[in-house]
Amino acid sequence: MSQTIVTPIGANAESEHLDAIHQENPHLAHHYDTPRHQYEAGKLGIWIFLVTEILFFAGLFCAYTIYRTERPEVFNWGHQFLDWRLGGLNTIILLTSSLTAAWAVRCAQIGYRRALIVNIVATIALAFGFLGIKYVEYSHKFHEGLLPGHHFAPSEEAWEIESFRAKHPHAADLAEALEAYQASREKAEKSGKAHHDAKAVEGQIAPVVPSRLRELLRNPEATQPLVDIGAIRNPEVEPQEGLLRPKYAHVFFSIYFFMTGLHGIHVIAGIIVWIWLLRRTIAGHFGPKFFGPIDFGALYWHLVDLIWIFLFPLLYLVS
Amino acid sequence: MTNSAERQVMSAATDQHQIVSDDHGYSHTISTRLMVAVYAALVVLTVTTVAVARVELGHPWNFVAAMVIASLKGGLVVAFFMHLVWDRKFNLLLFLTAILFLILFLGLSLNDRSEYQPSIDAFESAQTAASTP
Repeated sequence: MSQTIVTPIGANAESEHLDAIHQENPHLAHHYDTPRHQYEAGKLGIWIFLVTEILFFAGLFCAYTIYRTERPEVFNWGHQFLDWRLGGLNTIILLTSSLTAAWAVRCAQIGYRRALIVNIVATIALAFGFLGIKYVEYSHKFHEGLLPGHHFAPSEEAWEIESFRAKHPHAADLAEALEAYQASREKAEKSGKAHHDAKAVEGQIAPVVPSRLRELLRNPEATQPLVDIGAIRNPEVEPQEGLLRPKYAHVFFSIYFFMTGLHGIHVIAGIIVWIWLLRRTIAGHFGPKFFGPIDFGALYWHLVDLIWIFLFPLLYLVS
Repeated sequence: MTNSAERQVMSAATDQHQIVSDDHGYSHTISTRLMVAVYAALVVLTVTTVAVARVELGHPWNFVAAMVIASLKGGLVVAFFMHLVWDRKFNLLLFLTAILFLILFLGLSLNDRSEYQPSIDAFESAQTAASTP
């Protein structure tokens, strides 16, 4: 009886068998033979989509790479305006949401509907948490004028930021003192009082300004390019990398907003997908025989996490 | 006849079942313990990358360390959360193709940028000359 099925009767039997499979599996589309067949096709499809997503983001990663190798000082300056604690917290939030997404797939495969709902809701909640922190970060940047391109009008200098002061307290004190000195000198020059006020300011800044620099300050001609605070190299001063705003500083925020913005759009799309999956789960669509959509949604979500895993050190942890 | 055909379809199904050597249905199910272990490793690596960034390692090394840690994290996500270790190898091939083209894209663009460095420098000095009369 071990003959192969080539006879019309055999083919008929096979199609009858497939009809039975289709009747048992209401979510099996007519052009697939078995649920497994449908699942594998869907999985291949989502992986091809993820490949296009990786290459889509590659354009921005390329812009980042080119610009960072060309102008590293822009990144040394710009990253100080990002709070690594918020970025780190968002990393943990996304990693946790990846865990709940993976857990959701497991629950769908085993058929734990209640646990599946809990995991999807947790994933959506974490995604909103991520966007909430992103909102706090963005609104802070908007408020400080740290915007891309022509909108770039920063209201703070690098040395005024808490993180810079924590790292280089001496350089921050010096920069502030020099700024005060310069302001006073300009005021004095405007009112024609020559450098009388400068003497008074010098008394105030003396504790923080090194002796060699104080000598320079007494001689107005020698301190002509005072604007160039970062260019002052003094053995008594700490390294001041990232102190002075570089010429193309605004590009950092163009890259920051485009990379995190595109990622944020993907998070929003992910939330929409999860809400759709939640509705279908509640309707009782998923179980051990049909869990493809949950699996594919989770794969997309993991990719969003994967991209953030790289964005976090590239933008927040520049050193 | 009908019985034999049915048996063939059925045995084909069981064969496929064995090829994937899964413990549930037609796809691998990740164990809770492994999932939590991967998550714990990801959190530890996140803390590590923040800690390493606060230590001065010299010019390229901070960047190299950050990228190595990020790649490890990405590897964990792709291998376990995204099931690639148990999946059909064709899906792994697709992923690796994306990475290959990403590297080609970045590598060739970087190479091109170095080629144009003299033009960039010339443009820069011309601009500086124009802005300072």
